Amino acid sequence: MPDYGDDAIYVWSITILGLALPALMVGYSFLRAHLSKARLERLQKEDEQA
Amino acid sequence: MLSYLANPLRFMRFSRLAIPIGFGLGLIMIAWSLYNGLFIVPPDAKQGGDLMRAMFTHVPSAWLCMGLYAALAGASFVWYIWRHELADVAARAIAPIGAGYTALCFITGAIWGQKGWGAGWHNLILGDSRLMSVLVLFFLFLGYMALRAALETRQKAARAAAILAMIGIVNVPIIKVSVDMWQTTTIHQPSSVISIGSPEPRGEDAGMNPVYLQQLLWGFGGHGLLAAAMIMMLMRSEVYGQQADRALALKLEQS
Repeated sequence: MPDYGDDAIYVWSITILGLALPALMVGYSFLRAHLSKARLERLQKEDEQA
Repeated sequence: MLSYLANPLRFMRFSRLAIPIGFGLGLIMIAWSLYNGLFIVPPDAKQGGDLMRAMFTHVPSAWLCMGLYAALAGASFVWYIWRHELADVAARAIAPIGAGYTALCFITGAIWGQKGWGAGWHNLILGDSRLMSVLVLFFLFLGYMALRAALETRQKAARAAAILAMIGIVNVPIIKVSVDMWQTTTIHQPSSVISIGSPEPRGEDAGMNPVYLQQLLWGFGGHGLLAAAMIMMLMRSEVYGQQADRALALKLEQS
């Protein structure tokens, strides 16, 4: 690992945040798409059964 | 291309393929940018030595939050003029991703400023034109989402939010010029890639070293593709949601 001296804490915390926040947004998008699709499929299934 | 994708069925077919490609390519480009930015490129004494490595996260997020707001305003304009439903779906999907990237820009800037300027952004924000205009951008994204959630019918919410998004676009050029034209009102460094309205830099200050610029562009491209994939995913979610609402309404009507 490179030695950034006093700057290391700043550089690494910014880099980790730069990966964590987009990862959270990916999770949010995936969850929303998954839940909406599941709701639609449930309704379609109920329709077919009725 | 855009008019081709304006058909929801075509959009659903296209996005099914485009989402994994966007995620995959985006992640590779971000990884490449960070690998070079953190391990390969030499520190820049002009920008605080190793501390400047923060820019490979901060700058792409700053460019992207302005780009996403422009896209939000563009989609709102298309919906407002032509009432194209998919444009409204796109605008709704862009807002949370734009807010997320604006928050990222703000938080990373605050950490960078703590060391680089010797003061956190919380101490500077009220008197600084760049920081204040980015904060306004964040509130515009939040305001857009709050307005959409607050109004009763979808049409009313879309109309009010579209007007807000179109008016708010005035803030994007303000953010850009705040560091070039009003240098006395901000502690933020002037633009080093494209500057508007500031004197042409000369000698050592002339432009950014291409070694750094390349990594910024890789990072921007990667985050751009990632954001596009997330937006398409949220648009698909919205389309599924509308289909489910229609199916439910039909069911209630029949019962």
